[in-house]
Amino acid sequence: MNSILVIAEQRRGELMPSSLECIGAAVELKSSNNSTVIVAIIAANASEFVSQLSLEGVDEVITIVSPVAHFQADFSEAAALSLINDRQPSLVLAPHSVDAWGYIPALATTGNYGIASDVFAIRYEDGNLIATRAAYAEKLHQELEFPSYATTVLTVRGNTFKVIEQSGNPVVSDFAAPAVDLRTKHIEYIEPEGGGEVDITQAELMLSIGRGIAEEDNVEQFAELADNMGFTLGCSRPIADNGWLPKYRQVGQSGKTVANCQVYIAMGISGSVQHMAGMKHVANIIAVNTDPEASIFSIARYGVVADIFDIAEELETHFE
Amino acid sequence: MCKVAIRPQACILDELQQHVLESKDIYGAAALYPKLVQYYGSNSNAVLMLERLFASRQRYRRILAAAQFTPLEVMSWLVRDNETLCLNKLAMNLATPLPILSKLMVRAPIERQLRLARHPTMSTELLARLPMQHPEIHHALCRNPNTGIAQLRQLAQNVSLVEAQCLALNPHADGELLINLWQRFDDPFLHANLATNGQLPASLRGLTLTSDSPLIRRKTAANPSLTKAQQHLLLADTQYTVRAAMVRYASIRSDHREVDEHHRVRRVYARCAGLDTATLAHLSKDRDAWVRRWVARNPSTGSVVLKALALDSEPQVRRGITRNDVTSLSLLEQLSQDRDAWVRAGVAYRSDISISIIERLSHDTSDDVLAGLASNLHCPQLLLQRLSQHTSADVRRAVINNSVTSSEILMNLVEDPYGFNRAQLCINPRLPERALWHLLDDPEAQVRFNVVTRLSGLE
Repeated sequence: MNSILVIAEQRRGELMPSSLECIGAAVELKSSNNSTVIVAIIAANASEFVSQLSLEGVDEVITIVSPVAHFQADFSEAAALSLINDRQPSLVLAPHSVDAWGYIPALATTGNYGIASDVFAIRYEDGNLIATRAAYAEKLHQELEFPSYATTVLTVRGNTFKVIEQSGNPVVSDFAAPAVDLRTKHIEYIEPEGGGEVDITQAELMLSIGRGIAEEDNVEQFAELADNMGFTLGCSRPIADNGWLPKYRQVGQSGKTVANCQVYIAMGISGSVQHMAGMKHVANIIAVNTDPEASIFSIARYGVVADIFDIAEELETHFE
Repeated sequence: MCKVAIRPQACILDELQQHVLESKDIYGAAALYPKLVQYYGSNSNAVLMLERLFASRQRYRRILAAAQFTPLEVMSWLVRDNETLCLNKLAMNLATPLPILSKLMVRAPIERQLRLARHPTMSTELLARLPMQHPEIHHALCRNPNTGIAQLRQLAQNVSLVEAQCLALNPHADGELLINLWQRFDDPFLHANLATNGQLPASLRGLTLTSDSPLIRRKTAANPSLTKAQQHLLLADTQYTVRAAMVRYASIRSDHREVDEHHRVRRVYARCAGLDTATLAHLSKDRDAWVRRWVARNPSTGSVVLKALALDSEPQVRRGITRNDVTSLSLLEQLSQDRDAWVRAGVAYRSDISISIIERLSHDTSDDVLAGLASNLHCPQLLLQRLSQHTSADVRRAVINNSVTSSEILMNLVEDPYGFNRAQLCINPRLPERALWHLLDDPEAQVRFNVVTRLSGLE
């Protein structure tokens, strides 16, 4: 029987939410491919994650005990390779994360597996796996097939698959990974400077400002507005380029993708292709611009043709 | 390519023309077109060949009609096009100038007339020629700030509530028209819009000042025709939103708002120009961090208060000091060693910092700080050289946009992997001609357009 293997991730003793999304993707696929879903966790304390991974639709949870407390690429690669050889899954899913990229490419090369990164849609058509990913800085989506591979490894983009809420009752087993020469060791975690205080990729409510705000002091006005509204402040490239807001608040191709955003208010942003690459997926985009032909309106759910300062003043009075 | 070291403009233009025609590069052709018209004349073979390229595909003409960078000369050619979509795109293009809009009026179908009615560059005279009876054009004319008073009066005879709200804000609406709207519509939002209009007659302004609706009183605060007594009345309003609006718009000194019970009022007050030292000192100790942030940015804040605020626990307050023009060099020196990178970045962007501060900040690891240094006019070439190799495209772009960056450093950036950086590079006047020729085949349209614009302007 076909199987789909999910390699879950933990960091500092916490299961990474992206692992649960990978499980969601696997369970979504299992019926269309008549597969079983196997979830493996590699950690020094692997058994502690079993209950969190025992979700509805998961058939087996495999614990692989790591000799080290933190992620180690050589061990992860060897353990995953050995497990794939043992279980022969047709599909392996892992989060599109810095850890996965420490070993997944090497794993795919060593095992001669198909591979695609940053995948945000997966389906089977006539039994053939099709993975969708973005190309050319999100300007187009490409669909990939892997016809000549018995096993394909995909790293899955965060916030694209639903997490399963219900618990399940999978079989739990151990798997002994082969001994391997560990060529690196973990020294310490260093928090990113500056950007540590706000991660716009995780923000659900965003208020972003663009060239329309005209002056640096006006940035403060909109920062205050965002604060009053409980929104996270973001910006387009010209604002960050002027040094008016930190780079970590920049949305777009040269900035960040607001992956988790539910409501995005774009004020004074005309909507360059580069900016829209970072936010066009948001379900509720509210655009405010004096130019009725601004590109941003083509992707907005609600459009307001008005002066951003007038709208800001009205919003201020509505949020205590 | 011509083999002479200093080539005459004709030689450059011919070579560029040959290149854009061979590569069918419409962006380059659009940039070159005005120069060829100027140099050879509009009926010359060189110009006609570019026109043939534009005409070869509808898609080319539509792209150029919609682009805000399209030169006037190309628009003048495009306006002769027979295709409706192309002409509509020209009518929607915010960069389309009045002479072209005027030509677009000729035999324009309703769809194009509607776009012209919305266009902010349309003159009062052209707008007056549009058919007001069409509902959407009627609506667009009510919104257009260039619609003249005579037409506004005609429009007002048959307006919906939403259109009346637009008319109430129109800068050309006169007192008679505003009274008419006030009397016909008993709507608080319309009355709020009317309250802001400086043309509102005094009799109605008296009503808005004493309205039961805080919204209408707040909007009245924005009316530029308020007397001093009326401003004082609103400054003493029971609603903080009204007081805050009046502090924002007041032409008089709104004294003693530093003790206003509501932080929103104090925040607006802390932004005001010309506050005295004692008031700012009082506000600098406010428990609300936003008030202190505004004091830190206020150019009237004295050095003693700024020095005290430099020890504020809120990083954004310290950041505000770095962006205040009156902050002393010694205080900037102190803040260049702040534990918060965003505060240090505020210093890095200052054009008046000493070379010793630049030297200290050059060892920083924050991209914001390094981008600030890279854009600083006093940044030494050696440091610019190092920053031009930074992994962050933002830092490299700051080097590219710096007007003092040397030609040698710019030359090393012609292969920058980020397309927008190369587009910016082409407009830096220090980029040597040979680099421009190198970029002529760049995959990014914006780069090619900028390159041809620069090269075709060389003497």
